[in-house]
Amino acid sequence: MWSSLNPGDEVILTDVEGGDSRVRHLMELGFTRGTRVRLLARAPFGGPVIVEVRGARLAIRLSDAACLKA
Amino acid sequence: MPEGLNPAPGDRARASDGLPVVLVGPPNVGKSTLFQALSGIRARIVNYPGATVDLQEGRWVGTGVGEGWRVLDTPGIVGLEPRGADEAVTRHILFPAGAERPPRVVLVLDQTQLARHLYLAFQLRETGLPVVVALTMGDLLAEQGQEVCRSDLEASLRMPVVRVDAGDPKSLEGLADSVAALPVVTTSPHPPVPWDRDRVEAARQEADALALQVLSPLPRPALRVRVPLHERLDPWLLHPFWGFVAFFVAMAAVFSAVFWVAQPAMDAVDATVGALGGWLHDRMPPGALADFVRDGLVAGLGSVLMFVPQIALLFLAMILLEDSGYLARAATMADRPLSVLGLEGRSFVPLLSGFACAIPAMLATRTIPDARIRRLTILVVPLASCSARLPVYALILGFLVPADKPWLGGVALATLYLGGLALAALLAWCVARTLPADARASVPFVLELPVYRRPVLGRVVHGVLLKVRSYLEKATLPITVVATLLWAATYFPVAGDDPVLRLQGSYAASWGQAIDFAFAPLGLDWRAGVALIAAFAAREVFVASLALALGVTAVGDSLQAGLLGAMAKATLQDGTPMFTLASGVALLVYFVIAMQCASTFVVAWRESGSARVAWGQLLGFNVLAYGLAALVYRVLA
Repeated sequence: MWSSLNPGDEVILTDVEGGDSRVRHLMELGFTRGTRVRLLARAPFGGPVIVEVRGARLAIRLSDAACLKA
Repeated sequence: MPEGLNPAPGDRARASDGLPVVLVGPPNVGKSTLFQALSGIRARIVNYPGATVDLQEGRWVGTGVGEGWRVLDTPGIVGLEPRGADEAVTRHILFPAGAERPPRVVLVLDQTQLARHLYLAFQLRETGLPVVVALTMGDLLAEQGQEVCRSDLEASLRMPVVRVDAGDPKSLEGLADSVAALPVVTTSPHPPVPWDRDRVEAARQEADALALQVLSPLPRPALRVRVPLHERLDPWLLHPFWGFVAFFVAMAAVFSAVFWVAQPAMDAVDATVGALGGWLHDRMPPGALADFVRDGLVAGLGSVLMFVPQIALLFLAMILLEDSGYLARAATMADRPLSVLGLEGRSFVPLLSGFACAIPAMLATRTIPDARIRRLTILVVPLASCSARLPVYALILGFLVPADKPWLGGVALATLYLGGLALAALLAWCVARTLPADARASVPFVLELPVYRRPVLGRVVHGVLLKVRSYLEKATLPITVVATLLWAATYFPVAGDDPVLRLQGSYAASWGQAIDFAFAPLGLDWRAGVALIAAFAAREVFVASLALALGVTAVGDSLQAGLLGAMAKATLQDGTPMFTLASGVALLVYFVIAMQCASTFVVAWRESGSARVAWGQLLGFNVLAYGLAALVYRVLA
């Protein structure tokens, strides 16, 4: 999903998947269900995506972003 | 103040109980700025007992009730479950094993990020620690046309809440009053049980709701609605093409500052110290003592002081990059390339710091949550040429490069630095291949990109001074000791006025000649060899040692100029020149790779928790350095 979004696109998270501690960590950072997430930019060469969540800008690897379902 | 909390009388007495006031908070909330405002310029880097970690500790300055309290700054945390070595340190300070009483805590929160940051307040509330919430960034929030209702927040959190502004002493006094009024907790604090995902999610929702409840629009609207700087800059600074251009321009700026801007200052220090040594020498009765003061003591101290401009500039650049907010962008850009090597984006800052000094670089790896990646980063950090190697490079390149082609020196220098990096990349890649490809780390790679901010002059200056002082404290004694020993070894036992005869008959000469064979493959004799061995005390000792071994004394002249002349005249036993293109390049190759720093060895061991990493660096890098240097000499000679 994240690789098909364009900068500026917004999604609302429906679920956070993955192992327990990974999910907890992502949630502590603000990625909870129902949260609005906006794609701001992508780092080059398939690097991290930069998203805005709860007013903060977070760089997150595509493989980790895959846990975030919308 | 919340109900049920009564001010404890006689709090000044409690200030002497030794328990610090601990500043805790999420990353980028202005915690360190607050710390600096509280502790002034007297803060120092301390080792916290029980945790081998560098922290900043200071004494609360100002006139309020807090005067004299110990204040401790801690690494930023998102929640109380630590995810990396630095977050574990914060937890260790909050919940010290075996302590009778908990420390008093100031939880620093960014008002503009309240919905996210209140989460930590909820977690702390469960622990029973005595906490005061300090709200920062009030000016930014006002610019956005909003304010926080303090009393509502206080009531909901059941913690005292104060607004602070590092630039406003009154607000800091208010903070001190609130801390002094905290109830005395006499039970030992307990680390919290980790929350499960439902609890985390519930706390998040509660934080959202509370933030919404306590935030209200200001009576007057926002002054002007500005597009935040990051909205405008990030598309460019993270752009597939322009982002890399910006990245390389920033790095080039750092390095040219360090190499070109620092040079005149270094020359000035060098000349001043040389003059001082000569002046002292002339005013003392002739003899061993006068010679020692000039050629041992003052020259040794001079080789320590000479790096101060460079180290100050390097850390200045690092601090500017970090405080402006760019460093996090650079780490984001670097994540993909570094992940190919088995490292990650957060390895970038340690590698960059490694160009200043491997020791703070290894400490900086604590932000890497994955222990394996962290160890790998520590392993390759010494291959980034630290500033102690620069004088050696400068000396040898100064010798090799013709004076009419200064650009060639710059190119050669860049090659040395890139060569070290390339080797680091190769090593990381090879080692990462040999590691078991087990399940991916459970810690996701997430990096917060702070808002861009104009660095604050006072904070930058303070940071640079702290680093310089730390360097002087660490380097002065070992370098002085080595310089003294070396001086004695090159001075005794022959008496007389001829420095050349004296040197040739010295202890150093006879010991050095015994291991002469070891340096022959590099095209060097024992004199350079003595300097190479002395460099194990600290690499920069090489220059001063070579000067001593070649019998150069800095009488009214700079050490560097005298040394270059002596190098040109130095010959091997067969009468051929010792310092040639071949032996010079071999020396450079050796210094790029070799691990010659005892402090780095200790820190690598401690930080990686692995004897294999530390010994691997010490033995592996040095054997490789020697082998490659010998090979280079053979090919070129």
